[in-house]
Amino acid sequence: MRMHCDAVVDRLAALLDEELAPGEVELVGRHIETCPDCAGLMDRMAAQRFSQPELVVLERPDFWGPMDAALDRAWADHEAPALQAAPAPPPWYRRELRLPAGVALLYAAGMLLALGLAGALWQEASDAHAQVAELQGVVDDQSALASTPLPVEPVSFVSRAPYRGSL
Amino acid sequence: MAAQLKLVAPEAAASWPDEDIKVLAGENPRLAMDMVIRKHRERLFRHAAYITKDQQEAYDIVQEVFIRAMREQRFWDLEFRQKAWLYRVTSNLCFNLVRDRRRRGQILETVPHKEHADADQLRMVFEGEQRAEVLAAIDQMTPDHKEILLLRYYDDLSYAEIAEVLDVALGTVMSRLSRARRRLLDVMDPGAEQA
Repeated sequence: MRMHCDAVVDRLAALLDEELAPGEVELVGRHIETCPDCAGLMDRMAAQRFSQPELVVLERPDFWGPMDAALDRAWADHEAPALQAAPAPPPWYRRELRLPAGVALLYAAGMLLALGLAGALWQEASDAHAQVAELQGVVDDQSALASTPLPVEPVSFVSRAPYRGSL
Repeated sequence: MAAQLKLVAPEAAASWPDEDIKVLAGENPRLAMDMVIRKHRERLFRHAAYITKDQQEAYDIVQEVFIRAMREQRFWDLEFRQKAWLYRVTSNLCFNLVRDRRRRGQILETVPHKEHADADQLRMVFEGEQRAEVLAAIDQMTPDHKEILLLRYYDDLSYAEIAEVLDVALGTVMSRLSRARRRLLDVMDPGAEQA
């Protein structure tokens, strides 16, 4: 496969910087062998020299001192929130309950079931209590009746004349 | 910080792999951050100085970059690319500054201002005229081309690192760099191609 000039030119810097994949190096190389324009451009690029200018200022003693001091302060500010005393935990009745959704649902269902059972038991106990109270009333009534003396009706005697007849 | 820094020679910090520094951060994040600062600050300062042409601005930008690094939640994550992040933030701050200058109507110069060449200002000492010429030519290029040339040939980043810094594909790095170098040839020697 022959590469187009545009594709080769886009890879020339990578070729010179040895950043091109081996397969592409071969393709670009084949193209350059037969293309004087691309070969000329590569030669001109290869002659370019990039070298770092010396920054004299970096040799100054304590050049980084002010930056170290500023970063010191910045680090202290950065750490300050973490170093602050942790706030006292709230009382148990104000603590937030953090449960997974499934566990929370089970918990709620259990609570509802317990409330229902408690209600039913309470109703049953109330009925029993009412029955006991009713029976107690009957017993009390009967006791009261038993202890009440029966009214004594006055006995009237009818005096009769003695029988004088003959049997 | 200064007391802890004495424990780490600058050359030692520069040679520590990022992964080891991240492991150290689990036990002593402050020392780990010091090592990151030691490892990268000089190159970041150069990068910022090339773009801004102002020592104090470059210094302030590098300081701001490290302050942002302290606040970056992901900075110690194992998969987090610290170097790429540092260069990306530095580049963004520098180009924002340059853009603001232009908006204020200030004229960008290809070499530092005369007053900047004073002892207390940035001084770039060139060993030969060609260095000055190349840097001056790079200053005339578009921000995209200027940035990629600086990242590759002055900050010595690999193509993969440049791709991370610029958040582009590796192929884009190759083509953009080739076009930037070709453009640089045209700027430095406009008649050569016709000849």
